[in-house]
Parts: sequence; C-alpha cells; structure tokens
Amino acid sequence: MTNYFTMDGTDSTNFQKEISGMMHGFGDNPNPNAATVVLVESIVQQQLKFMIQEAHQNCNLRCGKAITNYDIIYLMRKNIKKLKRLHDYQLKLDQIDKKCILNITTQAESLITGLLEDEKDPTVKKRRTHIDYIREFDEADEVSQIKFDSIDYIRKVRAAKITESMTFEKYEAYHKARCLSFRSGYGIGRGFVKLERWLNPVKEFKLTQSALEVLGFVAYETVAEIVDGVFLIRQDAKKRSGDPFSKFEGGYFCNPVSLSNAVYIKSGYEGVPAITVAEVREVLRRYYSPRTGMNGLFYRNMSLDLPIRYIAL
Amino acid sequence: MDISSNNLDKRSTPSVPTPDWTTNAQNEMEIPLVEAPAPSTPALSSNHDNNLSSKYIQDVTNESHTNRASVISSTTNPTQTPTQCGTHSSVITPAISTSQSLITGEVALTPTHSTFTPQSINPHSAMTAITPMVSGTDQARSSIKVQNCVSTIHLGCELKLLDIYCRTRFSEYNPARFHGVVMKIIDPRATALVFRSGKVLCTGLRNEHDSYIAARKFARIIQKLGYPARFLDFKIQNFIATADLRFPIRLEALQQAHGQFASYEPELFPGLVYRMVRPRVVLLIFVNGKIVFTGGKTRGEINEALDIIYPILRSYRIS
Repeated sequence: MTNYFTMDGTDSTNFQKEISGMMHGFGDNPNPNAATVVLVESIVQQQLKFMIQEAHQNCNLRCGKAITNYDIIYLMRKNIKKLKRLHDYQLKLDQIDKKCILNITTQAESLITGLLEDEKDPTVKKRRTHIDYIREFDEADEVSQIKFDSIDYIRKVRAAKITESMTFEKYEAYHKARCLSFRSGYGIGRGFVKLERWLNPVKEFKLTQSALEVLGFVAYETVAEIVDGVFLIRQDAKKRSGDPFSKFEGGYFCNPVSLSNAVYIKSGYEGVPAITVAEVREVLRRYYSPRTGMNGLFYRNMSLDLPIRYIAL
Repeated sequence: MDISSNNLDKRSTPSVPTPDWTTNAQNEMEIPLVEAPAPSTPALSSNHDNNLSSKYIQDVTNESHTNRASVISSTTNPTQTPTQCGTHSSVITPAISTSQSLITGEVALTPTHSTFTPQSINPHSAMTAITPMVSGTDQARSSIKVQNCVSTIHLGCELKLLDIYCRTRFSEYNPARFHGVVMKIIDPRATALVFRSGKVLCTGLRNEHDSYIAARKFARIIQKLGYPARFLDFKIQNFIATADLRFPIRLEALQQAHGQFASYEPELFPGLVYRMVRPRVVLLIFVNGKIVFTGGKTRGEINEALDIIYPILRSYRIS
C-alpha cells in the first residue's frame, strides 16, 4: 500500500492487519482508522530499524558475527521495567511451549521433558537465553526486585473492562484481535520470517532467531505503548481546569462517556472512538519533547549525537 | 452376551413371564408366545409386530405400557435410560399378573376399564412428561474424553539400546537427537520410549486398560530379546483429557479474578492456562468453552477439577 506515511512504497510485506488487530486488542475501536494503522506501522518499522542499526554497531564493537538477542537486550538495559517484562515474557513462552508439546501426542520424544526428570534431553533445554542476559546486564539485581508488573496490570484491567459488556460475536472478534502478534503462523512453529522480511528485506544485517524474538516483543510493546499513550492523552483532554473532581470521573481507558469530549472524535459503531492520526502524533510529540528534568530545556548534548529514544524502551 | 443369559434365567421360571422391554429379547420371547396362545396366559411382550397380532395381545401391551409409564413418572428418575427399563418391568410384573386374573371376557379388556386400572383417574392424565434433563455439570462431565494416557514402567534391568533398536521392528533410535529408543506397536496403537536405565514410558493410548496392555506388550518384547525384564511399578503418569462446556467464557474477567492461578497471554497462546492447586491439574480453557486437562494422575482428579472449575466458569459465561 503506497501511502504518504510509508517510507518507501516498494515493500509488499506489511503488518497492517496485525497492527489494526493489536490496536483493537489494546482498546481501540473494532475498526481502527486506516490512516492511523499505517502511521503506527511506519513508526514501529522505523523504531525497529533504528534499533537494528544500533545493535549492529554494538555487535561490530564486540566483533560478533550476527546480531543476537544480547545486542538487542543491551539496548534495553536502562529500562528495568521492560527488562522485567521481557523476563516474564520468556517465562510464559517457555511454559506455553512445554504445554503445547505435551498436547501433541505424536511428538512422543518431546513428551519426556516434563515427565522424567532424571533423563532430561540435553538438546531441548535452553534455546532462549534472554533471562541469562537480563541477569548479566542487571548488576544491581533490580529486575528480580520488581514483583508487580504495573504495565501488564493496567492493560489487563483495561481488557477486562472492555470485554465486560460484549456480546459473544464482538467478544469473538476481540479475542481474535488479541491473538495477533508479530509472529507469523500458529503453534510452536511460530516463526519470524515475515518480521525479518519486513525489517530487513535485503538481508543487509544478520539477525539470529533469538534477536528476532526480542524484536517481535519490542514491536508489540511499541504498539501497546502508543495506544496507552493515546488513552493518557484522552484523559488529559477530558480534564477541565478548575474542576476538582475531574480526576475521579471514571476510568480513562474504556468508559465511552469519559471520552466524549476528546478532541478528535469519529465514533464507529462501538462506543470507543477510533484512534486518530492526530492523537498518535501527539503521543509521539510527548515522547520526544525534551525532558523537564534537572537540565530541562537547557540540556546540551556535548557529543552532538542525537540520542535515539525508543518508544517501547 | 449378558442379555441372552438374562433371558435364560427368565425362561427357567415360566410361571411368571416377565415382559422384557429390550428389543434384543424378542427372538427369545417369541417361542413361548407361539406355543401357548391361550387367552388366559399373561404372556406379555413388547413385540408389536408379533404375528399373533390379535386385539387381546395388543390391548395387553398397551395397558402394560401405561402401567410402565406411570411407574416411571412416580419414581421420577430423570436419567432414564433404556437399560434401566428392565428393572422397572420386573417391578410391575406382579401387578399385571394379579390384574390378569380378574379378566373375564373380551369386554373387560379395554385399557380404561376399572378392573384393569384401579386408579380413579386416567393414568394418562396423571402422567407428566418429564424430559430427561441433565444439569450442566453432568453434561460437561459426560463430555470428558481422555485423549491420551501416559504410563511408566520399570523393567528392572539395564538395557542396550542399540541392540534393542537393531533387533526390533518399528523402532527408531537416534542418539544425537534423543537418547532413547522409540518403539511402536500396532495393537493397541502405542508408542513407547525405552531408556537405558530400564524405564519405559508408554503413550498414545486412550484409557488405562489399553495403556496397561501396551506396557505389558512392550515389556514382553524386550523380555523376548533376552533381557531379564520384569514388569515393575506400572504407574499412570498423566491423563490428557478434553471437555466441552458448551458456552463461551470471558477469559479476561476470569484472568482478573483468578490472577494467581490463571495466566492468559493471547498473543502467545489463545487459551487461558489455569493451574489448579488441588487437585494438581493444569487446565487450558478456551473462549469457546472447550477445556483441556493435563497433569491429572487419575480420572477422579479430572472429574474433581471439572466440578471445581464448572461453577467458576459458569459465572464468566458470555450471555
């Protein structure tokens, strides 16, 4: 789809269907705005491409042959919350993989892993090592200190609230939308072929499977963060100055009434209005506006290289 | 087989002929009917297409039908199955035979005659039509189907895997991939993993009995190869069963309420993984109301898990 927003009109592989489903899953309208989807897709793609570039530099510095999950996790090292989320992500993935294997009766040789502890198969164990790398980067052992994943909690509460009063047909569509991710295919053999073709069409970088797994996680997080940001913006837009009770008025994520005076409303058949391009742009503006920290607006970057910040990290 | 033996018992006491409502019995019952066509003998049969299709026989069968129906409605057994009819028919038999003794002529044989039906009202009107209603739990429980049954045995001797692989049919051994021999048999269709320590894991069976038989066959095969194999510690390790609740479930709400047991990550796996503590069973719950049970050691555990989870899931039903 050649569009104003797409960087180059040549790429045939896109994740528009998946991203529109993901946005629906995170609480957008069942039919997300097509222009928004295209914009979000280009944002995610750009972010991941920057990330691969930077990981490639790091990889060269440490004389690696291919970009591994080590390089990608290295970029994430500052954000402990996201490291924790990746840590949990791997734990869940491992559990689910084991579960899937158990369900397949014909794959008898895989059955053994969970059953006879004394005769463990050495080849099966430890394909993913994200957790080991996370432990390595996390010298102060801060990741294990986090007991509560607030991002996850907020998203789950939102999903539960959205589904509260859905009919079965709508819920089925919602469930299908939530099942989408940046992995292609179904089951254990979910691969990252499409993701790699999307990010790295001419194979200029060598990416290992584990690196792609982390990239898929980051891409998913990016979409989620953008949608989260939109809901925060809508909450802000609703606030009236001088009203002391405005902060108590309902949830900011899914209550259609609380969104009624958001600026750009083009409501679909569901209560929640579809996320507009302007809202996504506002989210990005807030992400990239200079921090009002210790240096504030007078911050000078002495080494003159612009710091790249990632939405998901 | 047991039906015919039943009928043999009944034929040994010809003085009280019992009406047998099972259709299988009609061949057995036909012979005394033909031999004794006297109108006074209370030979009853459910056989409507009997060649003795006189009015008398038909009336009697009609009458016994109403009697039987009233008995059923009075006991109000909701789960009435055809196999249980036999017991009921034996209950009503003396009543019929006493009423038979009062019959004198052709006139008294109408089904609504007072001598025939001592009740003041027509039993048809007293009868309430009870459709066999089963509760949701029963329905869900009857939908449990064991898909796989994993058992282990210990042969009590060290095995040479390469030797076993070379001397048996339908076996695979690839030490680089998996350090055990994969053996298969056809009847019952089963797969076993044989390890060097003498442990055998037997899988692919639908029930415990088949699993036991398959395990014995595998042990026998290895014994025939010349190992001093014994059949020790047969144990069912895991049942994998499925059930269908027949209503959709709101997984998000369930996940919110049972956060410490449930994990639901739709982008990774479409089902909700529910780790039940007691009984120690893992349930995979899907949106369409289908459940997969894994990790149960007995059928009882799976039934128990379903009994526990049913009311919970019921409350998260999508109406």
